[in-house]
Amino acid sequence: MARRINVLGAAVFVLALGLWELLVRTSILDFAYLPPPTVVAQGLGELVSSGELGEALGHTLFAALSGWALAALAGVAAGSVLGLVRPVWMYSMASLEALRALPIVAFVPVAVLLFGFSVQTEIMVAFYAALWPILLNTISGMRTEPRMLESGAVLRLSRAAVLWKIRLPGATAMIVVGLRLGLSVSLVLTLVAEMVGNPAGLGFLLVEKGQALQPGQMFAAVFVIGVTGIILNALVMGAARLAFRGQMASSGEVSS
Amino acid sequence: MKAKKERGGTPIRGLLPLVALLVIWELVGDPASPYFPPPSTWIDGIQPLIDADKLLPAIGQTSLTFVLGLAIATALGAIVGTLVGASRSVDRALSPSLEFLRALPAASLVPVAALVLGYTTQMKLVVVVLPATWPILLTCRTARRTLSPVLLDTPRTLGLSTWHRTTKILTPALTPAVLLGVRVAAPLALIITLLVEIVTRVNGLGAALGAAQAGFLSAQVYGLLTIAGILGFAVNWIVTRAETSVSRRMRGTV
Repeated sequence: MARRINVLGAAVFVLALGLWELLVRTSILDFAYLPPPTVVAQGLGELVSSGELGEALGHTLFAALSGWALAALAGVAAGSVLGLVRPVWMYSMASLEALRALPIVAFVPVAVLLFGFSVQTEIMVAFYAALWPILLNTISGMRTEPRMLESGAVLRLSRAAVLWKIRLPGATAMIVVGLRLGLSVSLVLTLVAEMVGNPAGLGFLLVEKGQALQPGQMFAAVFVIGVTGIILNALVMGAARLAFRGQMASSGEVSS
Repeated sequence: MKAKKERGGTPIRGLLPLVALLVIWELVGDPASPYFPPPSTWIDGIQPLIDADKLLPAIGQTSLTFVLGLAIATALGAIVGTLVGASRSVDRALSPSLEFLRALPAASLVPVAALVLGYTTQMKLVVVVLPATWPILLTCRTARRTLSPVLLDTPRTLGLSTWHRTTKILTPALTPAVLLGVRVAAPLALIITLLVEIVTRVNGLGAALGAAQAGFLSAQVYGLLTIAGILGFAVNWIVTRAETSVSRRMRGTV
């Protein structure tokens, strides 16, 4: 955790922003709707003070996190069954792989068709998107190393004890990876659902500001979306490290 | 015996639930249902698009954007990844900026690109290239960083020119990593292509899908979804095949 602050990296980041500002101000980069960073910062201020940002952010987070939480429950439960019960896996895995090949975004129009322009559309899309990584990671996480199971047999553990003491801890790291991937895709797909379907949240804010020709506010919204993604990812990682310290370390996920 | 079974591919009989679901849907489904039209109506649904000669051009535009976008992303990712991975200080200098750009969801770039670049095919391409570059760039950076110094020093001792060092040593050594990145980037690029098309309705399969949804042509939506799925399946299959066969051959020579 005690990492040195990357001064050089931060300097380059600031320098790049400065260069962007300069190129736009001097009209070397000449696009009609490309704002310099100062205008973007101003746009961010406007969005915050008008309260639009808070409302949109809350809405998007609510939809993305509800979908993700549902997917976590369903994905871990179904993934455990598929990973542990061979016949179920044999008679359904190919169906799942065929379904997974369908590009997720192509489901957004279907969800809009089924659930209309509502927050359900967003939650369903977020759920569907997050389900795949969580489900597949749980399935492969449940494939415990045979030697571990053998030692369980030697110790005469009951089936429940094998599940609780060997299988689940062995799968934890994989499941956490699935949860992280799932969270970022559910956020992205929620944004898509908002752009195409339900007119609310950050996704709609982007489209709205674009149509209102407010590039400063629009770039500010993009910036907020990026930061939100980083914070959510860090939160999941932090929570996982706290909750499953031993399991994560055993799989090399914790480097500190 | 059991371990051997696990190593093999997914059993085909696993397709049974999907087939059963489609059959039940077909038998029980109401052809007039606005939400769940049975599979047989899907073909009728896309028939108007075929008659109007719109389906094939749409698939063509989507494929073109996808292939071009992935090709540019591969070149860009491989070159920048190699350069960044070659030097610690460049890596340190650029990684915060790269990390932030990578964290931006591709979806949020679509409206921005549409506003700045307009509703054009170039805009589609830019939006596809950006997110598809990251997996390739990152795997290439790691591979370049962990490259054995001996592999680089030997040709220098032998007095090979920079050009020959690049083509004979660096390229073969990094190709498997680039292909691994492409394998991750390809499905992503297809998704982003469809996404841009759905959101901006410029052209292609995604635009057709968006238009069908807006017109409540549910059978057509499901038909197009199936076509998109077949496209996704084909892309996955080709990329995985290419990656495994090339990296197997590479492992023999390196």
